[in-house]
Amino acid sequence: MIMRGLRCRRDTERSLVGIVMLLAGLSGISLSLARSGSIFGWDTVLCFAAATAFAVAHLLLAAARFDGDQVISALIAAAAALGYASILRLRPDLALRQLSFIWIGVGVMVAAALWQSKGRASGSGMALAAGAAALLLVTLAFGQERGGARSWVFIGGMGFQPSEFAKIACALAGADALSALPACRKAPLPSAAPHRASLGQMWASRPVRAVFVVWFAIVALTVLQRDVGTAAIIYISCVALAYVASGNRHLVLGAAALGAAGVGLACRFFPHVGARFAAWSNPWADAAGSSYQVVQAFYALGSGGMLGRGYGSGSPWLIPAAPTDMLFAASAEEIGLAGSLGVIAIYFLLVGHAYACAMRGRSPRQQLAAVGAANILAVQAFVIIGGNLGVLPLTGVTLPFASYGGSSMISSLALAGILLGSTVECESAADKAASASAGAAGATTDVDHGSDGNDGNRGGGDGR
Amino acid sequence: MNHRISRLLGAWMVGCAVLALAATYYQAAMADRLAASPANPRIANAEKSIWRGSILDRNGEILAESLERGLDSRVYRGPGSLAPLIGYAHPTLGKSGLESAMDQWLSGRGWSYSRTGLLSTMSRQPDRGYSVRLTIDSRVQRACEAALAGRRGAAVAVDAASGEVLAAASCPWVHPALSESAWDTVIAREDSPLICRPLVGLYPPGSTIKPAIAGAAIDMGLAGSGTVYDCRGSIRAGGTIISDAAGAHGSIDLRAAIALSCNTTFVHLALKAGPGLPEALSGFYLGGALPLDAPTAAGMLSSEAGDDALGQLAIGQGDLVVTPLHVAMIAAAVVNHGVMMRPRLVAEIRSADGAVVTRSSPGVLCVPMSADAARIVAAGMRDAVEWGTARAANLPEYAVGGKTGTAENPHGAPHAWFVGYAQHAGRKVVLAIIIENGGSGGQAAAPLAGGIFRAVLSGR
Repeated sequence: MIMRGLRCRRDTERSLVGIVMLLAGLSGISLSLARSGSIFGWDTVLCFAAATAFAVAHLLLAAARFDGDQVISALIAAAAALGYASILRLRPDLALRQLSFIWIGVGVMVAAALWQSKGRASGSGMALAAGAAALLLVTLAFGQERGGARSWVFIGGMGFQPSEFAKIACALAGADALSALPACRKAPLPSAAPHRASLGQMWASRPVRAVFVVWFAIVALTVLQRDVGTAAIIYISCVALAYVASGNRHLVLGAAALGAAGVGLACRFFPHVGARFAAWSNPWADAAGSSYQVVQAFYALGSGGMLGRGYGSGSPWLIPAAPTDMLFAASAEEIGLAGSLGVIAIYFLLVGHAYACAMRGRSPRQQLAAVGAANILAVQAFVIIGGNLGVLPLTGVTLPFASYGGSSMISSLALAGILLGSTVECESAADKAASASAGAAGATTDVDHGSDGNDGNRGGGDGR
Repeated sequence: MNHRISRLLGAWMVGCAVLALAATYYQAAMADRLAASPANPRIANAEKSIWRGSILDRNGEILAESLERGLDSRVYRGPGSLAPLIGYAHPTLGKSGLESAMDQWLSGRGWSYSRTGLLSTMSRQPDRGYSVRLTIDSRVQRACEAALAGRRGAAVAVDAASGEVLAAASCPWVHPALSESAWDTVIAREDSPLICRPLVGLYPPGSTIKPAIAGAAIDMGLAGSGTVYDCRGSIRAGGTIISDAAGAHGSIDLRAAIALSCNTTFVHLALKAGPGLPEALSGFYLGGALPLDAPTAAGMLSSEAGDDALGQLAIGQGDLVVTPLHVAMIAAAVVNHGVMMRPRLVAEIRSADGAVVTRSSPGVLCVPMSADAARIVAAGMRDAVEWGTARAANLPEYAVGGKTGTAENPHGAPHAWFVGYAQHAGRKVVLAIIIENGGSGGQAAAPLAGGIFRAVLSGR
């Protein structure tokens, strides 16, 4: 086929995506059997088509000789396939739209991966973040309200949420600016004390100062849109990113205190936030009113039990906002505890693998970009799965890669592209280390030092 | 920087562990409770597609059945006096009585709320509920209904040897179809036609408590077949004087005291028994609810052991209130050698294809008195029917024993009670009847027993 002439360097990804396609086809067959009684119905085709997007992404990446990580896109494909099956089951009328979002998103993912891997994204983070902040300002002025949050912009009937894209800009801007900190450099010897940046040192650096201001502006604008869930995701991810870059624990403690104060204020001034906190602290007090959604999620979870009721046998549509915010609980009824632990495991492996890749990153900028992207995925997945499970107050955010929604799907996949692009060379470096003899180890270390120095210079250049 | 990334990785692991634990909590630990919760909308939705099972009497006569899927077509076919026990099943009013208590079975959820994963896609869930066969005998039930003859009251008949409840008549009643169409009117009625009086109606037992007092006194060594008490016609219990309407009985043994319902003797025994008496009576389950497949009310038995309280306890007045079933079960223990069998209402559960899923079997509930005591008390109750206060219950063809009661109450005329047993060819049936505000037990309640005993023992 296409690959015959090329030397395929992405064997792992090919096998993993193949397995995911097989599973997607099986869930499609199960859905099709439950609904139309035939093995090969529309449901089978659509589920398979959703997973095929990632096979195409694999072919494109291989053709572009992209040598980044091979596990990430397969895990994302698994999350997307499971989510797509649930949406197909819940709202067949949305299935074709969601399929197109997946295909567009996968295209964006490939483009973002190549863009980031070639280093072209370097230095653009600040501009993106400033643009995102401006877009949020426009949304605040002219946007429309959905579910208590004024975070939607409609252009020609198509709505999207700029805050979804602000998340990516925040991670990129953070990676650009914070990689200039000396604390990011690798310690010359493993035994040496790690570098830490004090708050003063951080504030003294102009790019860091600038990124703090932009982060603050974006979080504040998102809060003003009353999209507290997204604001919390950006805030926590950025604080974690700043901690990784600086190693400053006071920053974390201070940010936690500030965050708690912010949540307190939000509860006081935004009635829907206060109501959600009340619904979280005692969901059974007002099961028919403010906590209706959470309680319906509990019933769905309990009705699913260990093995689930099987596709087509449950009633997941009983939960309000099932295809978007409540997708986890809605699908848990039919796939059971076994399936929902599987979903948690997919996100666990995805984020865990992303952090592992970040540790092997080529340069501090790449490392921080990977950490920033992983942070956002981790916090968002935790916030919404936790919200579905009653661990956290329910917020109106989506389950990345799985929930219905164009902005969410495309921005999550773009973020995944940034993540993929930031893992370039980490595998080939590992290969080199494995294949190299003991004598060649010194050369590898030299290369690392060199890249550190280069990045430091580049970061300094950004500052000027 | 890598060690800081590994800290984030650690935090992420903790976060995922929390999520996995929470998922396990709701989907494993709490799953059954959430799935079966009446507020779970899946239950109501499932009911629409289930053909609800029937309720049958012990001979297979249909008491309640559904004509099609869903709750709308539920039809009640049993005797009217059984309607408060069977209850109703209605899409908006909900369910009551046995329709509610046995709902898991009737709606087909009893065996397991199907959660078999992808397998359930292949195997269709059952669309017919289980049918419930009761121990109730419609013939006996109709005899009870005829005996009550429209008066407010209750009658309950139990097979003493097996614990099977043969009839539980409650009067007045409304047909479930009527209570659904005229709910507000039914609810507003002052004579509470929806209450299942034999199982949840609480009344002072009056003198029908005396067989239990006698049994307890014999087992405490305070009285026996040879002991004689000199009845002077009245006795002081604390601050009150309790007297006998018939005047002084003179020298009287325990059998005669039961037969003549001598208040003075029983107050004397209660005062001698002291704090041990409430304890002994709680052995008859008078202080709690009898276990049954339908809801039963808990009796109220104060453990107070002052002379005033003991005096009132001895004649079944004061704070003591019990259900007709409690009273019947006392007689059941008396006639069954002191052994109280577990009362049973459901005989078996059958699946839609007729296979028996569960079948109830006799079991001992408690042994509130010794066999010797039971023999003496049974003889006293026999005397009561032969020449004592309960003569109106006598039947030539069976060995009938009984005890009447005339229970003072704050709602007007005294409640008329009769509790008794009839033995024939190895069968032992007990019966408790109450006519609310019916006056004298010997005149209003005891004459009703004969027809019911005949219905049970003659098999006609």
